[in-house]
Amino acid sequence: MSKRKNHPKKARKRSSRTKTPASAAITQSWWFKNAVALVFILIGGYLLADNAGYQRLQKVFSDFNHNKVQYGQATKFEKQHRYLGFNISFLEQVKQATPEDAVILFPPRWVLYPRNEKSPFGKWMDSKSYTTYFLYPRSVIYDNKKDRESALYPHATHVAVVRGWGYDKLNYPVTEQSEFGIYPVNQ
Amino acid sequence: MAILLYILVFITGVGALSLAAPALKAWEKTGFALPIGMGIASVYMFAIDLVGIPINGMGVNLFGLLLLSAALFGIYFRNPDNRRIDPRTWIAPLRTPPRHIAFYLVVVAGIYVIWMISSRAMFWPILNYDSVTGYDLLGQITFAEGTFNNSVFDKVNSLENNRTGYAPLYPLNLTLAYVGGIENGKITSVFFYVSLALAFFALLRRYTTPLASALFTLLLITIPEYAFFSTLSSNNPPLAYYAGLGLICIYIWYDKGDRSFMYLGCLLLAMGMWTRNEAIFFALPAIGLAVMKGWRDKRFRPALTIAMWSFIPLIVWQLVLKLWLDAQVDIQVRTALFLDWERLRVMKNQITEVTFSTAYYGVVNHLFCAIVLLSALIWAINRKHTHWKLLAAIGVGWLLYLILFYQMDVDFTKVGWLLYSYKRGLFTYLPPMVFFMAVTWISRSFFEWVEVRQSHQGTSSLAT
Repeated sequence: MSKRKNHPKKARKRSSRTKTPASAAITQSWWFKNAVALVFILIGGYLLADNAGYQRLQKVFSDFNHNKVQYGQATKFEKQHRYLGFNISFLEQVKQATPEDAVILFPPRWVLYPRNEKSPFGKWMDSKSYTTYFLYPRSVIYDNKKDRESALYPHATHVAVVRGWGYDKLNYPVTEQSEFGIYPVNQ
Repeated sequence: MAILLYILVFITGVGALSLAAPALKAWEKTGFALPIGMGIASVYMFAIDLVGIPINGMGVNLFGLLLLSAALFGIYFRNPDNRRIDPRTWIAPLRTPPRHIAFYLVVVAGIYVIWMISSRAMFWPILNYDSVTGYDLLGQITFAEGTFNNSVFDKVNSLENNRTGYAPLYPLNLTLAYVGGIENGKITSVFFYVSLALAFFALLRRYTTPLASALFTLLLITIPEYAFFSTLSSNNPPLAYYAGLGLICIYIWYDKGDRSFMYLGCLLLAMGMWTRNEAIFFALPAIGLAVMKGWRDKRFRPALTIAMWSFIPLIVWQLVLKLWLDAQVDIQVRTALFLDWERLRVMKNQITEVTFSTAYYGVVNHLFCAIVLLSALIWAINRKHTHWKLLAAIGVGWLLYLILFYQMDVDFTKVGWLLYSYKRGLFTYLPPMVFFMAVTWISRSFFEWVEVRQSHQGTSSLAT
């Protein structure tokens, strides 16, 4: 074998000129195998389209396309409201009415979610981590956990009034009482 | 600034990969670089936090990542062999594009799915309960206060719960997104989803044809529950990335002997453990594979290396929880083994219901069982390489996970706790399961028949 024959550059040039088995393979067999693969993919896709999971995924996509049009120009609050409803409206109201260092007293669970009545709130309003997420850096305490939160309880600066609960926690009378609101403990 | 920050995260990832796994091809590194970089960034943030430096500044993160990437590349280029950079290797896959029409059809479908999932993730703010009360709560407050040991762990007004007790990789990456000025922390979910598709495709290409790699990657990224979860903010998809791909990489090392994959597997498992300690169910089978590989020559150093990389983050995190955060992690596991047939019966029913729910996992689990059975039948006749050890590793990991559920002191006969937890826990097993389906002899034979003659080489480059 000559030196010339072993030179990599030359060898590469030569190999690009010669017909590779690959190019030779674009024949009937190539078309046949492409057709087999395409049929395989299309039949697979057709069968999967009937599957509950992939239908769910399709629905997620189509809902998203719809939402993109509807909420395309929406603010973060409007998007949050789409899923969280009255929870976020109420929490936003609390946030707007309180300073950042506020300690807010929230009602107990039985007020937020009464047993025999439908609550205007969605899930999770009785979770301190949940309400704090939307109200941070404000602190949140719950009336039914005052034993566990005894250190902070006397320092409450505001009361979140829910379904009339909470007016008795204020150090002043409120003449026009609304069902929901946020009030400072001291006037 | 966010772009600069994530470019540096990417470069740091490439630097770490170049050192740990030099045999990786450029396009393989692309699939691993961001998640590895994000893992390193979280370790860096955590380390400077421990010495009292606020971690919410742009400067301190940019400078740190710059320094880290410079150090990693500095060490890499000290070896003269690494200084010869050939850009042609980066575009090598483009030179020999697959010639199959079906391949492009599948790739287009994959790009569409990735685009839709990423767009949906970025369109809606973080709203899911687990993140609002856990990961993002921690991420946001860490960003606001500049330390991980923040008011969430304040003993006077504690916000702690089970979700705030997970290892810090995911919440710290949410903090990193906010440091970069990105309003929606779900950019992290998008990075993991896209990277999973790229890295999984790249790993499959080492074993099978382009069409098979693309098709099985599409099968993985369209698993309904997994895809849906990738549009939320959760640490389950990152765990699936790290621990799932970590086990695959250790298996590739076991199968092919390329040490790059062992070190890459170590890195991934360590980061999995730094995300959720459940990664131990992948670390243990990985150590098992390494012990099996070294058994004949009595070489147990690789097994020790994997064990060390896996257990150090676990031990560090447990120490941090106890000594630094003084966290109240409320997970009750019965240490003594017991036998309760009623509990086993309920567990079996619930697990079967979730595992074979087509609404959650599409056809993947059914297809997996079918391919395992078919492979067993064919293997009994022809004894071809069917990657049984990978299947055993997946099986052992899954059994360990089930034992944990069984031992947990939770009455799952009354609440749907098992359904919710197991449903997400299964995500991590999906990448190795789909990998097994793709590389088993029966799948490879079919796709080889369809494709191999069309490659530029004209000969099969597939592993036997």
